Amino acid sequence: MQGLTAHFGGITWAFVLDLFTDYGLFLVSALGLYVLMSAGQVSLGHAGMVGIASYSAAVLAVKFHVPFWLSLPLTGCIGMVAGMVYCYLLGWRLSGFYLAIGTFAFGEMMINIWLTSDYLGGAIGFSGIPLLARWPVLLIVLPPIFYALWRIEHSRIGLAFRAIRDNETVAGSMGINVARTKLMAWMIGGFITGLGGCLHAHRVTVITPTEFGIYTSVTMLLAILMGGLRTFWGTVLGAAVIYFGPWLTTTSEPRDRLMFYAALIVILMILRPQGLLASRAAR
Amino acid sequence: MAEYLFEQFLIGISTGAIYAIVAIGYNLVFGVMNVLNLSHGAVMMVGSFGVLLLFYLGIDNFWLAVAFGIALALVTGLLVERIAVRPLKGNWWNIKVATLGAAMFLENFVTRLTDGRPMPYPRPFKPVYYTIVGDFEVSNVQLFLIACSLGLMVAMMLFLRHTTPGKAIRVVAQNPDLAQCVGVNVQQTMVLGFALSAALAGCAGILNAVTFGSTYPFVGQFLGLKGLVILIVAGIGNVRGCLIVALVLGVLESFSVVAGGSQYRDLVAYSALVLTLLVRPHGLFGEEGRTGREI
Repeated sequence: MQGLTAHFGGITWAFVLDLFTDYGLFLVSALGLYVLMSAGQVSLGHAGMVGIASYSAAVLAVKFHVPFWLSLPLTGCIGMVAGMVYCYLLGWRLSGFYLAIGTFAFGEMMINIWLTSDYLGGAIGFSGIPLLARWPVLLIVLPPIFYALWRIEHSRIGLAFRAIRDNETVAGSMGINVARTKLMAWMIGGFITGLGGCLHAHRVTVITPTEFGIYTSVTMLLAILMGGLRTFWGTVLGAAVIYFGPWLTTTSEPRDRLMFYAALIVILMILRPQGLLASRAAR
Repeated sequence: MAEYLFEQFLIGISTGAIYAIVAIGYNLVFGVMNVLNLSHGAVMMVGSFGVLLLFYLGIDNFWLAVAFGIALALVTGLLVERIAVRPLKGNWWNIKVATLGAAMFLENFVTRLTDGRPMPYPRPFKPVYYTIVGDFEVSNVQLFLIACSLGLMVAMMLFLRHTTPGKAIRVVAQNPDLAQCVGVNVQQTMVLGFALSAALAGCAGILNAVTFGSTYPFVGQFLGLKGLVILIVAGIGNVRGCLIVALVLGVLESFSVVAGGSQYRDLVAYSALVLTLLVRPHGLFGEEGRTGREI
């Protein structure tokens, strides 16, 4: 009991609020990836896409002084265009693991471009972004995203996404326009990711290229695989496991956290191979 | 200038050879088990730290330490196979996630043990510089590293081609069911493939650490990703293609350092990968039919 008090005693209300805000921001980007994954578009470079949006938001805010509520939808549209580019270059040509590696390489390429660009601050990062994405913003942004995803899931498009994920050839022969549906998935996913990137930039206020690397991408991917691909609520739950799991396994030594957490991933994969919120047949 | 270029060329060849060993390790596991083992980089790191562990215990013999490091990598690889691969019964997505979890566990475990600082690495012998022609110089450590990695590659190819266990690995890679029919012990061969891949990972980790003169717990992430890039560019399941692509990439990287500075090194590598995938979606030497959906 004493250990528990020592463990949770130092936690203040502001800290919990901060933690939940960070979780919400992470969730927005992860939901963008969920839309891609629900259409079978596995991306290992999703953080690269978040980075594109974050840098656009940063440039809009600092260089062009665009107000936050205008830059948010604008960044969403930039994310959508980025999604289209991803789709033209990679989504239509590659599938499965090749797509994962292609998106990963694209993300790394973007990171190296940001690293070498003086306009975007190079390796030191882009600073001076106003801190605007506090928790009330999330209460405004998240419900419409949930509603949109819920509607998509129960519509023709959602079924088309699922059909493409299960088998592209069969989906095509059933009259689904595979190329157009993929493009749609990339655009919707890109828009949500764009929102996530904008919020991220306005949350951390200094963005550096390396934070959009493979590690962040893998964390997002894990959140989705944890939750399973049956419904987007799986991602909400999976992101919570990924985000709060390390905090709950904290011991006196912070580095132990990641160790326990990695062991948890292996155990979960053995015990619940289909994800936390999915039926056995869904994968 | 010419001698600088020559030096960079040698560095490129030796890093390329290490990349090749990494990529072939992936290829072996992918070949026999049809899964991607994302803990490969972490096993490399374990191998390189095994050498340091023996030095820490007070045994001051480089070659003994190397043998111990490779053995430690092999045992780690087998443990990963037992815990994070076999219970998942061939479900490729979950194996990817579980081996990634295993890699994270190993990396953070070693970070915990070593405080995460880069550790200085022992050298096999004192560097001596030989002059070839004029100003062209080459050190014996460099020659040794290149000879080691290329020798390892040739040995691997000969093993796969001319010995019974090597042939068994190739048969299982082609068709496990038929292999079982002609009397190959499939389970054993899979474990053998995994063990070989882990031992190769240990060698690559040690060679890399000797090249850079230091090692750190997350060294495997960088090397492992480069190995994956080569695997994809060469086309999955092609050992000779891996060697060629790895050497070309190594030289390309070190020349891009000459041309633009070290910040262009990764940019060149990853742009080359994106371009290759755009032109040839199955990799340079890959088979038409393979779309990568099965990995």
